[in-house]
Amino acid sequence: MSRRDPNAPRLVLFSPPGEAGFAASLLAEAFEAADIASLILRTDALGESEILARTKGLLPLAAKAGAALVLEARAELVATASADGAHLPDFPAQSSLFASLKPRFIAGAAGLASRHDAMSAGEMGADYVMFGEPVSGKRPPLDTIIERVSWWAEIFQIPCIAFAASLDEVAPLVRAGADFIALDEAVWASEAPLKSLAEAMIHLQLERA
Amino acid sequence: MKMRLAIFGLVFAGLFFAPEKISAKPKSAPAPAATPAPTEETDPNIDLAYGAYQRGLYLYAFTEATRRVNADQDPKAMTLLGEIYAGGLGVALDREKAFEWYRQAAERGDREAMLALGLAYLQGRGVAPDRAEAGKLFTASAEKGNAVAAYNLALLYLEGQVYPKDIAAAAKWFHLAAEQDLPDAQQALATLYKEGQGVKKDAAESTRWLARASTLRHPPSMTEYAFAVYNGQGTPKDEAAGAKWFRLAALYGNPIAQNRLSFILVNGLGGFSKDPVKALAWHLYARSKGDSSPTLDTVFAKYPDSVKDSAEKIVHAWETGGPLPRS
Repeated sequence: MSRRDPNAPRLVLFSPPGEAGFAASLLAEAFEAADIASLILRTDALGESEILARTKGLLPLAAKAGAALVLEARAELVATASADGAHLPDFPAQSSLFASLKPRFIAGAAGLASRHDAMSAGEMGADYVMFGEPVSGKRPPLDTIIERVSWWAEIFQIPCIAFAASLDEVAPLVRAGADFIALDEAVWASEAPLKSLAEAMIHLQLERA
Repeated sequence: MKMRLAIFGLVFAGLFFAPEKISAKPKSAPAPAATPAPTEETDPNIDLAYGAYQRGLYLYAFTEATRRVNADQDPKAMTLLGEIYAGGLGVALDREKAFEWYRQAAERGDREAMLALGLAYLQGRGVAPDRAEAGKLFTASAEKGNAVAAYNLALLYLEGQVYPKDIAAAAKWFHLAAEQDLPDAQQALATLYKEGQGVKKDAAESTRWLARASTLRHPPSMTEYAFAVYNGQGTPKDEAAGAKWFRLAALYGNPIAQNRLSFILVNGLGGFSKDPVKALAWHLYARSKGDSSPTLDTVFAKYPDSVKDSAEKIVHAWETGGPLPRS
């Protein structure tokens, strides 16, 4: 990744579903194939000990790639798990967790239903805001997400992550000014995840003029 | 009839839904960096207790909730105390004390406490098991709109012990829970619509509920939905979309979907290219988890050893977390 355009956005990857070994195997491949800035470990289906065990297994992978490892939702486990921070999918309901993470850990804000929510997250010291991720299986139309990303990128310094539900969405979200592109099923639902990652990387490099 | 077996399997397997955390976030979250005026609805103190609980600061949550209870008998704080005792969070686990706090909160009309108390009676935790009492409490909580209580109540109506078996009533309560996006209830309701049990048979409605549960990433529903989309049941037939759902359900660990994906990759269906190695890998992975497929076994028996070796290496990587072998 040495020829990376320094201004090009980078990838944020959500962990794949599946059993621990299966998920770790996919991630080992992904880290080798692509430049990944940050890995968000999905925790919704996992118990506490499983989260700690998976984090332990993934830390060396992430460290080797220079990527941050961030736990979805479970801010209280960040320190125990030696993770780099928490991704809070339910802002503002989880806003009280921000204080417990700062300044040592990354606190990411998602579930931002309005501009007001996004700005509140920024004021509270969010390390990034995410737009466009599905909440309870639903997400706004792509145009709305693009509009929100461009608004944020123009005004604020805090990095903005745009969630791309499919590879087709990567290019327009990059053009809108996203600092990072988050991928989940756009990669994992494909039978060739590496090919999908590679394709996403190409969009990141090409679309930022 | 098949459906009845499926649903009763659910009941007898003891799959009543007991969420990890019962306590619900109080509705009134204070705006950041602002002090809301306390009103009857807005109680910053219970938010303080709940917030601490959420951050894992259980002792602080415990102290704060105790203060609330002593100050004005707050039922939300009582439920929180029940939960702290039930989980042994920062205090010694004590089911009797948990039961007592849930009971007091339930008497004051807290629907989450009613659910917790119902589960305590159902499972005999902190009290002698009493399914009839569990039913009463689930009813009270469900009537106040609690989705999990409604789901459990529906199971009691299907089971026909506490209440005479009443599939229409079960459907009604599944519906209440399904509307609040409880995926287990959505899948159960989809089954009732598919079979026309307790509701008018309606394939489209059945598939619609499966779709909703699938977007919530409920693995068993994803597999059923994949079949519906792939075969065009209750929705227009779309092999490519169906194949993607099989792939996703396979990722989530569903062995039936894994074998189906294997079949798709053997034959290059639904927009996927033929991939004998991956196809065999998925099949072996599914078989190791107990889903056999004699058809696929026959197909793969004819494959060359080189394909078998590569597939076994992939499965080994999947099971141990190592990187996949270079192809």
